[in-house]
Amino acid sequence: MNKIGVVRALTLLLSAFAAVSPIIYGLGIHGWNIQAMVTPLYSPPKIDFRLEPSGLRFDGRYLYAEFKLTNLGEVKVVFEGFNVEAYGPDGKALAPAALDKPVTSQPGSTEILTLKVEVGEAALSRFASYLMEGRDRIRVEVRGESIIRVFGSKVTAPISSSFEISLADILKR
Amino acid sequence: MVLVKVLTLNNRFNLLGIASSLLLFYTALSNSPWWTMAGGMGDEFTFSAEVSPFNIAVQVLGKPVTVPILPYLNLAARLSILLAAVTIFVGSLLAGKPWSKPLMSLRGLTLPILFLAGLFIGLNLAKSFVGVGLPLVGKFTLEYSIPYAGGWIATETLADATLTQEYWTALAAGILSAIAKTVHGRVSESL
Repeated sequence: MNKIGVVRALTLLLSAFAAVSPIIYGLGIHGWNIQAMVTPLYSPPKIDFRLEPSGLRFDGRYLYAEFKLTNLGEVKVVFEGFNVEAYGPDGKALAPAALDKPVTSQPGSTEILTLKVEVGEAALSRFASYLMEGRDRIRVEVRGESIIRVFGSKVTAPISSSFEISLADILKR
Repeated sequence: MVLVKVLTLNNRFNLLGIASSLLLFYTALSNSPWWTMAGGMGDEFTFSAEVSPFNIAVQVLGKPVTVPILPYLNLAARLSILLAAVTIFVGSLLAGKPWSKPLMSLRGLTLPILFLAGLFIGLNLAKSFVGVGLPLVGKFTLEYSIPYAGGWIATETLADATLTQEYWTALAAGILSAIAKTVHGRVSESL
């Protein structure tokens, strides 16, 4: 074999060694389990919240329903807005509601999230009719969508929660 | 032929080969990404990918996504380019020897081309498997919906994908090495 042939063979051999040896080494370390080697590994962060009613107050024509928001997950979430509707115990729509102000929820923290319900004359008369039916407390359900920001993404997700309002709360108004 | 003589200092050194090998050394020893994609706003990223043949880092919701074989493939790519840089460098210094011709490797050019092809295939696979169309370069809004509790959770993420300066440097090194190989061939013919 001439010199050119020797050099060509040598470079080919070295190239093959450089390309193959790390992969063989890796397979050896992982017990030649090819499936495990090519399977992506990922454990997503836990995203979990607890929302519980914590208070009510009237201010002018608005009802402010406060919720205790506990972030049980590992991710910071900013609640930017709600596009929800309040429903009476008979399932009829009472009034539109929105988030009073954006709430930033850090992992492990508890924040107060305030829902602002616009209580017009129609909603008040509905409340009155529920009370006249003999109920002493009215269960109000809010359903709709929430706009939240997680890791720089805008997320629109369904939201549903409820609170109770009593005659005393309405009279305080 | 005059140009070849100039570029090889009268058939002694392959100057283009030396330049390309130095660029290849830089490329192989750098950990900077060749292609990046990030989705999110401000300093918060829903996902990010920093990809080169020598290093791949992917994060989704702040957590890394790993594939165990990738570091070994990255090492193989790095060793291959380092070897190509060494052989081109040695071959360029010994341009006057007829046996130096096989030392002039084209691997420096094939890697950036294969990288781009691999990215293209990977992004198309993502489109067919996850239903998410991701462009190779440019700004875009990624919209994705998943069913949840009788409704939908809809996400909207502003994202940006770029081929970095490092990629163009690697491609320049590859093109230079291909020209150097052609020049080397002319030198060998004239010997």
